[in-house]
Amino acid sequence: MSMSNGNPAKVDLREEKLQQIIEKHNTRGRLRPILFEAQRLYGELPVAAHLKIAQAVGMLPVKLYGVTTFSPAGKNCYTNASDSFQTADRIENRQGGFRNIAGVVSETGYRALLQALAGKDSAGIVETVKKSGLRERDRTGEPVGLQWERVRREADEQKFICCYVSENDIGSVKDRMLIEQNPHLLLEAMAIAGLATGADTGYVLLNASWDLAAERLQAAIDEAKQLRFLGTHIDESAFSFEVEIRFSNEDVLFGEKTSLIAYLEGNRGEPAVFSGAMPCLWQKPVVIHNIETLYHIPAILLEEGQKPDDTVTGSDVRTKLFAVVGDLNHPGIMEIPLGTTLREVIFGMGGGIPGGKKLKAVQIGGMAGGCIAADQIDIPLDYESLHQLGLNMGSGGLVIMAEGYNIVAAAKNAMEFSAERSCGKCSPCRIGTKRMLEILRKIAAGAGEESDLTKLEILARNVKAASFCGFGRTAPDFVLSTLTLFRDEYRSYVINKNRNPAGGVNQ
Amino acid sequence: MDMVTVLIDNKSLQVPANFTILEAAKQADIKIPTLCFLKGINEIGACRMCLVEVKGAEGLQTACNYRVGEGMEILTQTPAAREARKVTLELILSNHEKKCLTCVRSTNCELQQLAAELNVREIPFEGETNRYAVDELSPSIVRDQNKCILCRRCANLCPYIDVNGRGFKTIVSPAFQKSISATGCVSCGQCINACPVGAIREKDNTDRVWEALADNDRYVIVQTAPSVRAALGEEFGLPIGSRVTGKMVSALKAMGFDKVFDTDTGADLTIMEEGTELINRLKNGGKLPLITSCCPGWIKFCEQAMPAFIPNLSSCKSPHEMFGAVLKSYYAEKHGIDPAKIITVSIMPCTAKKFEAQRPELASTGYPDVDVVLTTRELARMIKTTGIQFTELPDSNFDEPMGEASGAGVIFGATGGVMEAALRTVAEVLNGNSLNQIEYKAVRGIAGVREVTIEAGGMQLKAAVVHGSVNIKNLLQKVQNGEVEYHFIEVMFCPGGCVNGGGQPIRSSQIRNEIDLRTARAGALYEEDQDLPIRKSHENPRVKALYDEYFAAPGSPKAHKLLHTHYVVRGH
Repeated sequence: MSMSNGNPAKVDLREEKLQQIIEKHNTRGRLRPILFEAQRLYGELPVAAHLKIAQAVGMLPVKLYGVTTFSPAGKNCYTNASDSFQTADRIENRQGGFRNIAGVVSETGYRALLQALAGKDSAGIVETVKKSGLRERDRTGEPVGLQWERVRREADEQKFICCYVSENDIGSVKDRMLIEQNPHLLLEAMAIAGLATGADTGYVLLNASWDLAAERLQAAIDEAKQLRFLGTHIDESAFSFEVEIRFSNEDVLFGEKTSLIAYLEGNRGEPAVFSGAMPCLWQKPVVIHNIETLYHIPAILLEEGQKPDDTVTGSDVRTKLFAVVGDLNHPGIMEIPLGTTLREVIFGMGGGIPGGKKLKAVQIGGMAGGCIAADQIDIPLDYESLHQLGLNMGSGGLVIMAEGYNIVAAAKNAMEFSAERSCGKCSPCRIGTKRMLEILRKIAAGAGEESDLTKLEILARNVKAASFCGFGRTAPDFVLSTLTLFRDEYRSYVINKNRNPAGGVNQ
Repeated sequence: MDMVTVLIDNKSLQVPANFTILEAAKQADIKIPTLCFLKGINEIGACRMCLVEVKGAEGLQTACNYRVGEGMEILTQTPAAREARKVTLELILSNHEKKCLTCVRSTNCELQQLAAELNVREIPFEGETNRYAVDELSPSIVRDQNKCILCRRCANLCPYIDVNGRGFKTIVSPAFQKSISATGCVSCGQCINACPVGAIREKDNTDRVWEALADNDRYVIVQTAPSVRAALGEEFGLPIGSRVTGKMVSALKAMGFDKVFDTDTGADLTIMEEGTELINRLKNGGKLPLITSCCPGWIKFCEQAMPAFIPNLSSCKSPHEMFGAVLKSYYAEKHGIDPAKIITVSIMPCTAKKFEAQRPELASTGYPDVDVVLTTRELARMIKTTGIQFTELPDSNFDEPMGEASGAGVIFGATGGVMEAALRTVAEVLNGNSLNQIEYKAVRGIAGVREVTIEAGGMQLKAAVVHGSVNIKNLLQKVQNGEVEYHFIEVMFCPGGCVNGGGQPIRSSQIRNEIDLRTARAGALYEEDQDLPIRKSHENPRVKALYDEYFAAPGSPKAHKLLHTHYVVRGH
């Protein structure tokens, strides 16, 4: 813990600033905004600042210390791109920089909200969303309409809408792209969700390192309020809705709703058991979606009756964003109608594999997602088909692996990611991901034994079965699936001590 | 309550709809292993030892916090559930410092017991382990995080420790990973009793006692607190609530203590002094409510967290400190022993007494009133070391002249006991006659706050009993706000009072989830009270003699010098 040890007569100006920060934030859940600003002020928070904040928000110091140390990096901070290098030299700060285009509402903006305000009651909106068959764009694929229905039926005066805009996966930028390109669409969707469920407050949990996104979203919020699309009595109606930004860092297990709630409430972002039938924020019902899910909402309302709904197809037929990377001629973020086959993605939109190499496997769902073999790529990319294969959408990552791709090295990387981010609450994930990583490192270093493969498999199977939340229950997926599909490669490492059986170069 | 029908391992049964799977399984006589679960305190499903299959639910579920539903089908012994539990246990063991042979919790360890029950014969997943320095700075509590399994029971009990860090490096510690002694820890020791393994234990002071016993130059006097007799037997396999007063005295004599006295005599003395203090405050417009000062956990809590109540505290030392001062003054003079050569040892149900004994103000004779405090557990370990067959021992009586006490002194060990003992004396003094009705059932039991109003000396005396830190805080806040008014309050920091103190025998969660130790052990004390010929402190002839021969009267200058103390406002 770094403490000031300079001249005692010198006043630390930061103390005064901290006091201002504390006084500025006086809303519910103020701990997160205070921490965000205080940590930008100090970097790592000193003991005295901990004590001051703890007292201000009425929290035990030991609890606050638990919160500020809950970070994969071991020390708590909100990293910010602009903190890391000289801002004066940056292109974006030059005259006419790209920041100026932020947050302008388009002509078609808020039409769905206005239409809903004019023509529908809350039950009607929920019914429309239910009929659309829209599912959460995450691991669970939970039907959105059902979530809304549950919250709508609750009698509480206060309800919340929460949206997380922050991917967990290294290198995945689709959420960032969405929020930077059209922040108004998110605000509109959240307001509609509020109207449908009876909520009057929305929180956007935004990755703290995306400062352009933050700037644009805030500009959009300000503009929407000015134009009466947000705030009290939207468009002269009885409906009021406010949106606030809350900054997040890796202290949240994204996709795990209870972790997100814990974070917003100012606790360690650990998963928990719902105490009732549904998630609650500050004991009040809350609808939680990711940005991608919400971006479908205005279109669903506007296009009602024009597209097939689930009463016809039984499934979600809208689009899904995928971050397609790996051995592909045209990698990138692709918006794909659900039900498209992987083959179309790879050899159609993706332009095939460079050098005409053979496809080896595809990893689905992000950093720790499971793999399917080359001969399975005719499966349609939809929730049901993936579920049948024991896979899930995850964060929407697709890694295309051509022949030569080193599976063992990739498995080790995937486990590095999971072991570092495991929250530590439940024992199988806390210790199991660590042990799996240790075994994979040993194998990758050419020191593995046959028994290590057995251990790895037992661990993978049981970390998946025994972990508390979706994070631990999916963390072993890549290892589990590749131990089945490419066991020979693992064996080649341990028997021949051949550290590159695939002949490829990725490490 | 609505009932639902569930099917557990193909047994159909009806259970209340708010039951967990664990509770339902218990009703069907099906045992599901648990580790982090401690009923009412820790129900977080973190250890994953109680995993079962629920038909239709994805993956395995934790029985401890998964609620039953109508028609739910539960399978507790499928291969997948068994394997998940065993692998999880093997993982926990792989990051546990397995110095079981020398661990104070060996044979009374929930982790060890589970390893046996789940037939773990090797640890297949060894790897990097976390290593932490053992925190031995507190006079009462040793924290060894190398053995911690992160069940979080202690964190959910105590406002000074909690989880911090993340992932594999997660640890339970005080804020900023300081020593527990640098926090507001009052040394209550409830964390020790909740710990399923050897990660938290009392500071062992048995060597100091062995040394003193071996030194012919020393006169070693031992005293035992009331609630020790109600629990010591558990360390030797006797049922909870067994009263082992006579065997305990025999064991102490066999171990070579020069004298074996009863702290209850100190308790009777406390009633005389505190009762007089109460009457004086009532009559002379002193600070009210008077609040008891027997509990060292409460005293430290008051000094640091509620200093506004320091003027309300009785100035009486706690019973064993009073008694220690008497031994080094009156007793030493009477028997011509140099007090410098006397070693007073207190056997206490309490870890906070270790801290208390170190207070510089508790040395009225120039020597510490009490030299060494041992917990009930440490005494049991000493007895085991000697090879004494405890359960076979005959009964012996405490030594005279400080031996037998009144029943009022005995019930000090249960929450409400000090109040009841005080009322027995105060009511008679204020009324000026002897009363037959001496049992105050209203102050017995384990409700968080209990009240009684008695008619005495023409006035309504309002009294309250409170135990457990949260209840204490809430009640005193109300007193402060003027929402409630009392003349006298008994405060015990540990839930249930001393019978459930942090120095008492540690019982596994399997037992604590089923039996209320507080009630079962208190029962033994109320039983002894009923059996004793003298049940009021002021009728104890030994106490009377003490005043006649030495102190003249309760509250006399001499009594004040030796039997009373003062308090300090402390930050932490």
